[in-house]
Amino acid sequence: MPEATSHLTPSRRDFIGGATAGLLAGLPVAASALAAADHPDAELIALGAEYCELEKAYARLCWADDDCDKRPGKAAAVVFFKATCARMEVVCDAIIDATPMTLEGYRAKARAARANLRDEPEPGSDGEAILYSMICDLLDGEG
Amino acid sequence: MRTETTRRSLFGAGAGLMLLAAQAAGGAKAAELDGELLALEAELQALEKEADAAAWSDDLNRILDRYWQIADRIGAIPARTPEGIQCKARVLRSVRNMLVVEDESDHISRHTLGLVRDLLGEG
Repeated sequence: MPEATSHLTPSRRDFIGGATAGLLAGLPVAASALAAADHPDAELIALGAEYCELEKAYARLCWADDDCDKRPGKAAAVVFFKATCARMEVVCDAIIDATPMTLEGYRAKARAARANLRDEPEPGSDGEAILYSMICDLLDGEG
Repeated sequence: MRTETTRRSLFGAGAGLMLLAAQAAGGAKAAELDGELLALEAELQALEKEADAAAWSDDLNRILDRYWQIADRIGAIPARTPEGIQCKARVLRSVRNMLVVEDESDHISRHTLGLVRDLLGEG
């Protein structure tokens, strides 16, 4: 990850410590680095995209959170998994705090929520089916 | 976040709602395109009030059965207007209220509450 000018960077380092910063090289590019575009929701859109990538990383690495799983590379995976989780917390909060100014901003939030849902919920699943349906409406058929 | 402060100072917290309002289809169009959704929401909100007032009884079971039947139906109908999407946001809030969701710290709860807040202009 490039040396970020992001205001989020200090928080990330507070969370995970500088020693793991190198491991974050594989994580998505810092949101603010992508937010240079002249768009009212540029930062929110970048945060949404980063959150979706973090969800994928989380899914790939969640085995590291299983004490019974002893596959090779576990120690590094645990560090990377914790870094991913810490970054997800920061990005999740930033997405929720942002007020969308455009439809694309709403869609960025909807994509992040859909990524967190992962699979289409069954009807009757505690409101998640309605959430998913609302997300699909906002994304207007986007795959 | 830094840009958030700027946005709010420029547009105010209700800007998201203003955006939706600007794109709103209008009452007549919403009624035409999302009439079933809006009618179901009205029935669902009435049932929520009935459930709040009802003592534990067979009548409450009937109310709740109908409530969840409508909630499932709303989740199955696509919204075609901003009013329809806002209708789903209100329904989502009602459903979470009926479920008495106490732990709202997980990511999906936070995303849900954030989206509902934005869509209903309560930022």
